[in-house]
Amino acid sequence: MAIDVRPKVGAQAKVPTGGGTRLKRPRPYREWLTSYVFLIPAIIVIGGFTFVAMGVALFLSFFKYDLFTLQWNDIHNYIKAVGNADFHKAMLNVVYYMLVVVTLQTILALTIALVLDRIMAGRGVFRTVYYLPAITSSVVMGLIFSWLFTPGGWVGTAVGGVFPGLRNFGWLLDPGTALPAIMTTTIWSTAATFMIVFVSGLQDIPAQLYEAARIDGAVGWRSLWNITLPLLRPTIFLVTVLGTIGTLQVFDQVYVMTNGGPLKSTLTPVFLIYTEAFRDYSVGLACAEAFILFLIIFTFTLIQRRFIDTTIEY
Amino acid sequence: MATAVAMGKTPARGLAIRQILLYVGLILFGVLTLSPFILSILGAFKSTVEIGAYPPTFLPQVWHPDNFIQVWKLFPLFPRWFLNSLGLSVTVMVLNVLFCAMAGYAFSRLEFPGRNILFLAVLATLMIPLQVTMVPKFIMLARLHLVNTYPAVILPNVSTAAGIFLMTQFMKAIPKELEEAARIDGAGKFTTFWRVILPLSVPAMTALAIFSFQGQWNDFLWPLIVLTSPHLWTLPLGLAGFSTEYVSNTNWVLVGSIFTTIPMAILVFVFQRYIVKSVATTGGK
Repeated sequence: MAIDVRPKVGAQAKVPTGGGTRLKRPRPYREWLTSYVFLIPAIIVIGGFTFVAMGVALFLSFFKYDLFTLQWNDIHNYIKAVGNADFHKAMLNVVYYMLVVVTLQTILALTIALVLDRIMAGRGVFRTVYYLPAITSSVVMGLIFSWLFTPGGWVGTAVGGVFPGLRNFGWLLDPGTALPAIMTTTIWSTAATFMIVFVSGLQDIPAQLYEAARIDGAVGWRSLWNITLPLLRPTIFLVTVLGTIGTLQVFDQVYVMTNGGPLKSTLTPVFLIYTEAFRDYSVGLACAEAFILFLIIFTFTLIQRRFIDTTIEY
Repeated sequence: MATAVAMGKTPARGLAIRQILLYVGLILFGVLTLSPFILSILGAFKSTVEIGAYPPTFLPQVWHPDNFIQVWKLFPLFPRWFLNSLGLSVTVMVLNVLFCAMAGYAFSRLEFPGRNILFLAVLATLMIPLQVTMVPKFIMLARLHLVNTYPAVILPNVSTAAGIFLMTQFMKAIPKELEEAARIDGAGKFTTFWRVILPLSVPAMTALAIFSFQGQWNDFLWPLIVLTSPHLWTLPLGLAGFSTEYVSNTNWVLVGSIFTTIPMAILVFVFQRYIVKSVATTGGK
């Protein structure tokens, strides 16, 4: 309380007095202790459920484990995973899914954001409407789209207007169209989230740049190509990275819409790991596959990170 | 004069035409976005026969508002699932915001050995996907006898890397002088956190709260793994189970979907302003 005696602290705040500082500053180890107290919940949750869990997964990937008996299995889980036809199929499916969804949702989100950025009024209304699918649970949207895609359903009726032969086509029952149907569902629901990211990225571009470019004669497409897109690069990469991570983990839509079928055409790694661990109780194999998948995602992310880091300097 | 008027007129007309085209494009996309919702809402009022009819009807021939009562009667657990979803989402939201704010305070305002390494470790977990940890997490919770309980859903979600990152970045921007002033008044670290830092971090906390709530409300995979008893299920789980049981009663499934979506929709309309801001900074994660 002695400190209160000092008059007008604010006026001389920038001039530290030796004695006062020594008295006020708590000994550092107390601050250390306080810090760790503040961090306890985060350390327990993230340490336990991520780092310890990773260790457990690595450990189990070398064992045969059916939730009851644990048996050393050397690297046979990894050998089995690498040779597993279902795992190959799942990886191919998810890469196909990722490439299509990330490309289309990024282009769609960017296009809408660019259009929204150019209209005079009513931006908020459109943004709200477009954002509605993003807040809808993936189960709900999976169920709605399963219904829309049924033979003779709304999609069939709409497409059948142009190609009458497709009116009764079972989009989710054909190995060639089941995954694209799920892609459509996903793009419909995620494009809006990324659109909002793009809208704010666009607002961060200084207006003077467009002004200067206009004086130099760059308008319309040229201003889009030479100013907007290059300056939006960090945002584009952010959207791509988030999209990649998200699409590689697709599960809910598959579970609700196709259950991995038909003919495993919509089998994805997370769905495969889920069924192997929790339906077949091949926990060791599931962990080995999860690790292989993790290494692939990790590599992907690192590669993409390099791009982000180089673009931050703009 | 004449040329000046002509010159002034043409770009203006071009601009107007361009604006109209942009609006037409936006409205078309809006229709595309909304049509699944509109068809679902209309479908929820149709009879079981009409919902399966070909070609599909746009408006119900006979309106069946009784579908909404029917679903509650057929599935006495529906209110229970609703309460489970609500309770779990609120709990996760409150704890996650509090714990992330605490961690953010330590990372942004306090000095301690290992700070940078711990922060990097937290960020590194952003790259670790759920499929790697879901199996061992389940096994760990099984060992703790927590499988098929609410804590199994709550515990792994009450400190998220994205949340800690958001709070740390936000708190870094709070001026040091405010904290100094509190210290001069004799406030300890805990009081400073509670009385100074937290009130100033409300915008970031609101954003994180909305995301936590939305994430938990819509989460499917993790509750599916750890909750086996139907009375513990959340709405998405109940709805998925419901839909496999009543494959041909799409009208009822749509009613259930509406019940699941409405609370989130209300929340989003109320907090729209914050959501736009926070999606922009975090990418919705």
